[in-house]
Amino acid sequence: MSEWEKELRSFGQAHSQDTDEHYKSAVEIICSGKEYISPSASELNTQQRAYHFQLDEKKWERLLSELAYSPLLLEGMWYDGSLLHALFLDQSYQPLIACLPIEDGRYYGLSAVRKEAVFYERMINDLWGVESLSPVELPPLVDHRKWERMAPCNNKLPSLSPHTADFSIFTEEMEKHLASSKAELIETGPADGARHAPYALHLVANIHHILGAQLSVGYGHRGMVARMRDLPLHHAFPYVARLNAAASIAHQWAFAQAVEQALSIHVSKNTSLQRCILAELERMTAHLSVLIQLWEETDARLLAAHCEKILEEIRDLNDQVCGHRFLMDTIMPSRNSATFTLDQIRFIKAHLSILARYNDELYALYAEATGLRKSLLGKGVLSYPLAMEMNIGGVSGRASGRDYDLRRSMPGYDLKWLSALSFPQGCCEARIRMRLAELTASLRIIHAATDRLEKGMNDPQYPYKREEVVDYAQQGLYAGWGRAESAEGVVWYWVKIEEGRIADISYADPSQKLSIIAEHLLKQAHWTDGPLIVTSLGFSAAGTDG
Amino acid sequence: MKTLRLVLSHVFHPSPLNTENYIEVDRPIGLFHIATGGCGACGQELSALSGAAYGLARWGVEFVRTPQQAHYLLLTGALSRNMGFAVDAAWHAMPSPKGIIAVGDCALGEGIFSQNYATFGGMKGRIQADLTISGCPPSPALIGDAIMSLLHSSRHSQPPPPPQAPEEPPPLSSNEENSGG
Repeated sequence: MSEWEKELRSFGQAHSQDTDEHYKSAVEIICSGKEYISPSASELNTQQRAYHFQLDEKKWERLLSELAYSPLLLEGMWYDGSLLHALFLDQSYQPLIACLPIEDGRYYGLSAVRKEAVFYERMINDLWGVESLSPVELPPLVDHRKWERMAPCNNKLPSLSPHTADFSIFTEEMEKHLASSKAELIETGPADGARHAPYALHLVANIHHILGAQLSVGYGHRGMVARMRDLPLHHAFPYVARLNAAASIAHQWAFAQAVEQALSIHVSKNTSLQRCILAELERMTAHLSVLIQLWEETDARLLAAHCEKILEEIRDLNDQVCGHRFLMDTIMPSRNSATFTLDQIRFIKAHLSILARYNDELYALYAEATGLRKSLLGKGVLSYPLAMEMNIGGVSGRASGRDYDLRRSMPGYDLKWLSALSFPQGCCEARIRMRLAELTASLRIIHAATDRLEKGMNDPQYPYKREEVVDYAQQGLYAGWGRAESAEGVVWYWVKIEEGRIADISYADPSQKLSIIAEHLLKQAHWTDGPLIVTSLGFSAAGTDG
Repeated sequence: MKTLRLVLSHVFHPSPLNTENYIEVDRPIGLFHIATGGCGACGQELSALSGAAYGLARWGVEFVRTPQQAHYLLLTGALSRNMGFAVDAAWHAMPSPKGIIAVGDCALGEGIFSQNYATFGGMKGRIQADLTISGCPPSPALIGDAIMSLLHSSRHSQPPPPPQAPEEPPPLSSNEENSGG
């Protein structure tokens, strides 16, 4: 039984015979394409199966018609200047990439059959001027008509000046609601004095509930992909680490895994264990940061103060152990820049007992706040079918009944450390409980990992030096895919390395899908709950950069 | 028991800020923060600074939610082109005297996000700041100490000029004397 099927059955749902056939048919169409990377590079990666295929237009259209009925999960789309790539996950959550040559700047888009494709197709259109033929409305995402030219990544297009007049953030549906005399427009951001990365929330609401919602991102767009393309491999690390501070380790680890897979680099057990410890430290800080924002939204100052104290303890620990409060620039392919000594491991363990005590107090405080918990119940419900359809992982997925945790298959983790945590409610309160539960679980994982690391201090480490990796990467063409579980879900990277440089790169941050989910959840909510619902998802606008 | 714990927490957990040199401000000082395109780390350090771990609000410095309440515009990030208008609008909405504080390497133009189609690459040569705090990100203690030093120095300088309606919109720089103070 596939991972996916297990998950569906655990929730009392099952595949029909028809969907299974459509799924198989869609996979067959993709696999019938030409293998994307040249044979010379594929031969080097003999251990990995082929998962990237180039389709012609006919096959692409057949794939689209199958996708309408097939539950193949779409994880991301990108354009590289000549080919459009769409990354799917099969039923074992393994990647399957289909790519299509684009000749006239247009293609049949996936947004007609996949909600999440809207985000990627808008991004591709903004950056490259490549248009999706889709019945769905695709307004600009990151191009707010403030750039010097349109489609800045596409040098083949003539330098077009932006047209400010045609820029509207509202969809037709929102315009229709706005025309109604009983609806009001409520807007916050992008400069609202808050400390998070900039985004704007546009709500069309009547006295009872929100009729339409638009979460506008792209205000802080930095052009991450354009910056990383064509860079020497090691120059890309600082960008990866600074893509989203809330998930810096997850990004670094996923990128390192992609490079390691591409170059067939072996990673030692101790390196993986250290990464696991760093990832759990980051998970705790991410949960605490979201909780602080939530307590501020709900005016629960005592809980906020408690979380702030714990967060500072962890940031201080990060600084002392790795030299950076946000653990940036710590993970490299084949190794970690910060090596844990025995003293450091003991230092972490000593801190764990303090953190555990603080954590217990936080739990007790929340348990006592009955009124607060009651006020959060039933708000912003993410249903299980929607979480499953859009493959929402992390806290939001598990608080909606999903039993998906990528850490179960990540190196460094032990299945014994990961209990099956899942709540069926899917509301703000369930997400908060999940965060609190994961704080406790992270402490337990760090404890177990440090124990194991302490015992295995003499195991062989770092089979490759940095120079060796650089030399090896300069010898040909490689491609690899890697992923890591952040607090909010899976972060993945796909990277193509050519003669030591990044020829192409794509990535996904959970916030990309959460921006679409937020708009869904906001509809029918009361307008005063808008910011609370967005915050409870752990959405970070920095992660939506492209 | 609780009293003992409170006393012990003061003994073993002194303030991470260098408070010996801090001055009591005569009136609350408002900071209006705008994230202009970065990873979000500087913003998180500012949250820590205003939170229970550092408690900058106890020294009369607080983050405000509208530019009208602010004495200083606090900028983080590489100044994206999409946020330029928001920075400009917030600056013009602030009453005089006012000032600008730039926090983090990205904002100072010393970070990795150089000028490209999407960003101006920081404020260097574009916006004149009263206080610059480097670091990627600078720690809350560093930010807090720098802000308090600025307030200390502005207190000992000339009194601020009375607010006047400018004939033309002023450039986005804080070259007014005694800004913010």
